[in-house]
Amino acid sequence: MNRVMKFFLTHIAVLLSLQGYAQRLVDRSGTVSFFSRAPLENIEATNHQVLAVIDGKNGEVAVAMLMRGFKFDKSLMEQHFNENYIESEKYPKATFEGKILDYSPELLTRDGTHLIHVSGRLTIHGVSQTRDIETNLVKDNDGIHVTFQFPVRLKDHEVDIPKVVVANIAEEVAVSGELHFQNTEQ
Amino acid sequence: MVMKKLALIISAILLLAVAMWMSKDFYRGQSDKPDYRATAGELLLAFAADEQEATRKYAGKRIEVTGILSAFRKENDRFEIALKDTEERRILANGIWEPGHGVPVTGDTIVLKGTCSGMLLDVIFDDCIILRP
Repeated sequence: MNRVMKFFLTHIAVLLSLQGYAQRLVDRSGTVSFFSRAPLENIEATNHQVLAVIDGKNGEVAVAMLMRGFKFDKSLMEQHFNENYIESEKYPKATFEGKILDYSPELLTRDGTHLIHVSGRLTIHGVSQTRDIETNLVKDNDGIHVTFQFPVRLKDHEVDIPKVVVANIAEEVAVSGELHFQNTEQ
Repeated sequence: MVMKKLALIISAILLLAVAMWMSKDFYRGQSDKPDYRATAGELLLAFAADEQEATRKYAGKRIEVTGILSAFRKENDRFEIALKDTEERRILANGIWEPGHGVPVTGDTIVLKGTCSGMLLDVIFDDCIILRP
């Protein structure tokens, strides 16, 4: 397990074990999808088991997902994704750890819709990149709903696409997600 | 003579078709066989002891798991089950709900077969089917 993953998992464990009044928000079944548009075919996969945590005290954010949790329409495509491209055996998880910019706790307590920026490190295939992600946050009686969309260049995370399938897989994929948080205040 | 040859050819084709159909059933049965059988406690202990090694061994494999049900949720045609061990660690298993299947109750012994994805806070299983109850 590399240094980033160890830090991330420790961070989540600490966030969830904190005693006191700090507000911790957890989603254990968030959704993240990616879409690749290429000349020969479009590829789409969805993961419904995304783990996300927001620390209400300081706006720190941590998101983790198992790469094997991405489900494709075609099982052969899923197999190639795990075995050849993302190498899930070596790099089983993708993670994001960062912070909501210009954060104030009222963002999570007062009903309303906000466009926020979350800045941090996105790690896929063992390679981390700094990202600033625009996110839509809605607070209502049902909880906190977060949606986001951003592009990922496969080359930035050293995901190699063999020349023979370049027409099947785009160099840049569109990632989108939906998270729903409820308070876990103790 | 021609009719006899034609009858022989048709019989051979029919026999071949039946043999292929029977072998398809045989291989389907083989592919449903789990890669491992384990209790929830054994799997959770393996992941707690060495997550990297357990991921290498179990992730992507079909595993038949036996455990005590601690939570059950059904939404539309999908279900999610939690199996706990004595340390309150969890296996979270999800799959397509089969109509007519009895709804399990907390405390029931559950046997399910699914594909292990790995571990976040819980050990995750996908594409599960409930074998018992």
